[in-house]
This record gives sequence, structure tokens and C-alpha cells, in this order.
Amino acid sequence: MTSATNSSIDGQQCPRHEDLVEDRLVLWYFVAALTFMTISMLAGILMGLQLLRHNPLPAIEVLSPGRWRMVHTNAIAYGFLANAFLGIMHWVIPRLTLRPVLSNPLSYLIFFAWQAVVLATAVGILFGQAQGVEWGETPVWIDPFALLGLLLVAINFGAPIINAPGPLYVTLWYYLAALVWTFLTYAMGNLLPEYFVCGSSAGAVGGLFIHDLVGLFVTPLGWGMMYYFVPILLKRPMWSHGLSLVGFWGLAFFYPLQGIHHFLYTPIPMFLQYGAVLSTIALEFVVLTVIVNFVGTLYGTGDLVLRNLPLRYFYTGILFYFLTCLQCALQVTLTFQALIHFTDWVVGHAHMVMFGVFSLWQLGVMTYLVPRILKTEWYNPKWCEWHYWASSGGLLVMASDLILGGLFQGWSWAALQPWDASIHLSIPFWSVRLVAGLVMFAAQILFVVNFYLTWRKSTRSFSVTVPATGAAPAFGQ
Amino acid sequence: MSAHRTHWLTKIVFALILTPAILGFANKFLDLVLVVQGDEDGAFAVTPIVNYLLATAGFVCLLLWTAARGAFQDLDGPSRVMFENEQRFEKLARETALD
Repeated sequence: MTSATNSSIDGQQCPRHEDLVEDRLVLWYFVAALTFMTISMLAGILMGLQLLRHNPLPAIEVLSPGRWRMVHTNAIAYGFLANAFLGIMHWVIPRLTLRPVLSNPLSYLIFFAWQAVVLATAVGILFGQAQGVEWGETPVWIDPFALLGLLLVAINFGAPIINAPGPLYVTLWYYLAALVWTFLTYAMGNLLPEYFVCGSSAGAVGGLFIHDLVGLFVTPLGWGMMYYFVPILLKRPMWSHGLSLVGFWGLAFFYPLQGIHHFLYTPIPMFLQYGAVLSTIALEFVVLTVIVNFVGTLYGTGDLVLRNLPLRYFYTGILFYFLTCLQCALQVTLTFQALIHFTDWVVGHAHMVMFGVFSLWQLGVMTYLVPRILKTEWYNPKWCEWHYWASSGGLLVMASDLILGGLFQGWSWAALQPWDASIHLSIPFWSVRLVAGLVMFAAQILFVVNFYLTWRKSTRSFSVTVPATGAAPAFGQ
Repeated sequence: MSAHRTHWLTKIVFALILTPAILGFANKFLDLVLVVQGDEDGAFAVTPIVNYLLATAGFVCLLLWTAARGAFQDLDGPSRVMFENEQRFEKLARETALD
């Protein structure tokens, strides 16, 4: 039996939640995340209007659609996802390791520094300073600060993980890897093509960066989060911790080579392209082990997914993850790629990953944690339900619409029809996408309002009654 | 199934998976060397491959270190510990609230 096991049995050794977790910081990160999500979705809607030739901000260089599009992607990756993950890690890591983060003042410094980095990125992009790397448009002068911030994050969270006794729980493996991977991936994508390599080589590195950003930053933090929250909400340990380790090590070995599948049919040597295709298909088997594990954990308590809102978010995300990985294993084949490359299929796929999986998971965690941190029920639990249905339903419509539209675009190009013809046939799909986007945006606004009113309610009722964190109401029990 | 039999079965499966994997890897690595030697332009393939090899080498070392520390001996232990600790957090929080 490990020392960690002993600590769990001996009641005297278990520290209080208040001594481990800085609740206020978790909330601040959620507020920052939702702020950037609102900005990002607003930018997405503007871009959607532009595609329908209804740009509401014409002839303003700073607000031109190309720049808004980069704000849309960067704000969601570095503003929403990164902020929400950082907040959630401030909750998860101390509770799993039974140790606080290295330094609370450092945590606050990182919080403010990260907001400055994201804001500066948005402003830099709007003023035309974008770096020519997809998902890495952060202006070059910000890169050293961003890297320093990521290094500090790794040190602050890495300290309690490394000092934790006994074999690590799989969440900590994912988190530890993500802390290292994110720093290295960011450095690779932003520095190598800028200063060290060029031409096809820079293209290959760019491909690795795009995909590693999803696979080695967002994915490990997302799955680490799921391996923590799902057992808690289901009130049972994971079906197989061994299988979860297969998932982790499979990700570690198969993922880093995948990115070149973004550049099939390019001058990059074919053995590299084949390697990327094969490792992507191989990863699908690894993904299957993860899905089987989560379904196995749910087995016998499936009705909870219907009754418990955060769980519903989690398993909806897991379903989308399975679909998106299955789609990925098919679309990386050269045959499939010939049809869908450069089409809206890819945009639909990207939305399904970023919103359908990781954003839904994070929104689920927020739905679970906010009442526990504020020690009060949601201001309006029904709005939370609406938030779920509009977010997941809107995303389903948007992703399906774009994927289908992408097929039509691909067939149009394959038939050598004029470019205008593919634009013309895309208009109905882009119209549906805009409506779906508006529904999703309205859902997030409703969530933000609910969050604000819950916070206000908690500050008013705090002096009257303080429910326990453990007895936190709604959705978690 | 006896421990002895499981032990040998594991080794056989291990060999069945690793042998083709190592052969395939060596073959592709040879491809890389030939590309680099035979074509100057092909040298750019080195960057992504070296990236991958460095990452993989790091993870092989980490995997070996983890195995040496006994992480794969009690596979479900960490999961149980995590779950018990969380239950205790909840219990403590409820007790605090009652106080």
C-alpha cells in the first residue's frame, strides 16, 4: 500500500479544502475565460456575417474580417480554454496531491500576466502585427512573455505534483505532461518557423504545431479534468486505472507525429505524410480504450447522465470526442483528403473539437464548481439547462451543417466548376451556421448573466447562511 | 491462469508487438537517412523527425522511470486513493458546515 493510500485512510492527515485551494482565483479565471469566450464568439459571428456579405463593420481596417477571424481563434484557445483550464487546475491539483500550489502570490501574478498576454495578442492582431503561423498569430514580441508565463505555470503546478507521494493518479500524469508539452509546443510553433527554419520545413513544423496545440495542450488538460470529475460525480472510481494509463502513454507516443497530416499532398516527403496518417489512425485505437473506460465507469448508472447536468456535459463531450476522432481517422486518408481539403468540413471538425468537446467539458465543470465555490445554488437552474441544450444543440447543428457543406464544396471543386459556383452553393450552409452560432452565443450570454446573478446572490446571502462546500447544492449531488 | 503462464504470455505478446514495430521504425529511419544523404533538399525532413524523436525519447525514459518506481504494480491503487480522498474532503466540508 502506498503512502498516499495511508494518508487517505488516516483522517488526521487530510488537509482542509480551504488550506489547499484558492477559491477566489478559480472564480477569477472563470470570469476571464467567459469574457474572452464572449469576445471570441462575437468575432465568430462577425466573420459569419462577412461570409454572407453583411459585414456590419465595413471599411474599418482595424476591424477587418481577416483580423477578427484571428481574434476568434486566439481568444478561444488562449483566452477561454487556457483560462478555464488554469482555474480548474487550481482546484484539481491541490486536492489530488494534498498540497497547495508552489506559491499563491505567484498564482495571482500568473493570472494577471496571462490576461495581459491574451489582451496584447488581441490588440496586436487587430493592429496588423500577427505572426504568420496558424494558431500562433501572437505577435513575435509577445512570444517571450508568453513562454515565461508558461514556464511559471509549469513550476507553480509542477511542484505539488512532483512532491506527491506514491504512484500518480492518471489526471496528474496528463497534467504533468501538458505542463511540459505546452511550453515546448508553443516554443516550437512560434520560434522555429520564425527564426530557424523556412519553406517546407517551416510548413511541416507549422503542421505539428497546429495539431500539437490541440493534442498536447488541450487534450491532456481536458482528459485529465475528466478523469478527476467523472468518478466524483458518479461516486465510483474509474472502471480501470490501467486502461487509463494505456490512453495516456498512447497519446504520448502517437500524438507528436500527427501534425503533418495537415499538409498531405505537399512537397513534404511521403514517408513523413504516411507516418502522420498511420499514427493518426493508430491513435483512434488509443481513443477507443479511453471511451471504453468512461463507458465502463458509467455502466449501470446511465440514468445519472440524464439527471445530472455536469455529467451530461461531460458525456456529451465524450460522445463528440469519439465522433471527432473517428472523423479524424477517416479524413486523414489521402483519398478522403482529396475531397475535403480546404473545405468547410475542416471548420466543422475544428468546431466539434474545440466547442463540442473541450468547451462543453469546461462549461460542465463551471456548472458544477460555481455553486460550490460561491456556496449557493445557481440563481436560475433552469437557465443552466437552457445553456446546455442551446450550446450542445447549436454546436450539433453548426458542425453537421459545415461538414455537409464541406462535402458539397469538395464535390463542386472536384467537378471543376467555377469558384463562384462553390460560393453560391455554400450560402445556405453559411446561413444555417450563422443561426446556430447566434443560438450558441445567446446561450453563453445567458450563462454569463446567470453566473453574475448567482455571484451577487451569494454576496447578499453570505452573512445569513453559509452552506458547506461539500453540501453544495444542485447538479453535483 | 497461473502467474508463470501470464508472465510468458505477456512476454510473447510484447515480442509480437515490438518486433514489427522496431523493424518498421528502423526501416523508416533508414529512409530518412537516405533522403538526407541523397538529396540536399530532403534535409528539411530532419526538423520534424528530430522533434518527434526527442519527444519520444523523453517519454521512453519517463515510462522506464515510472515502471521502475512501481507505478504498474498496483494499477488501480491511485484511482482508489483519489476517490477516498475526495470522499473525505466532502465529509470534512459537511462537518465544517454543521459546526
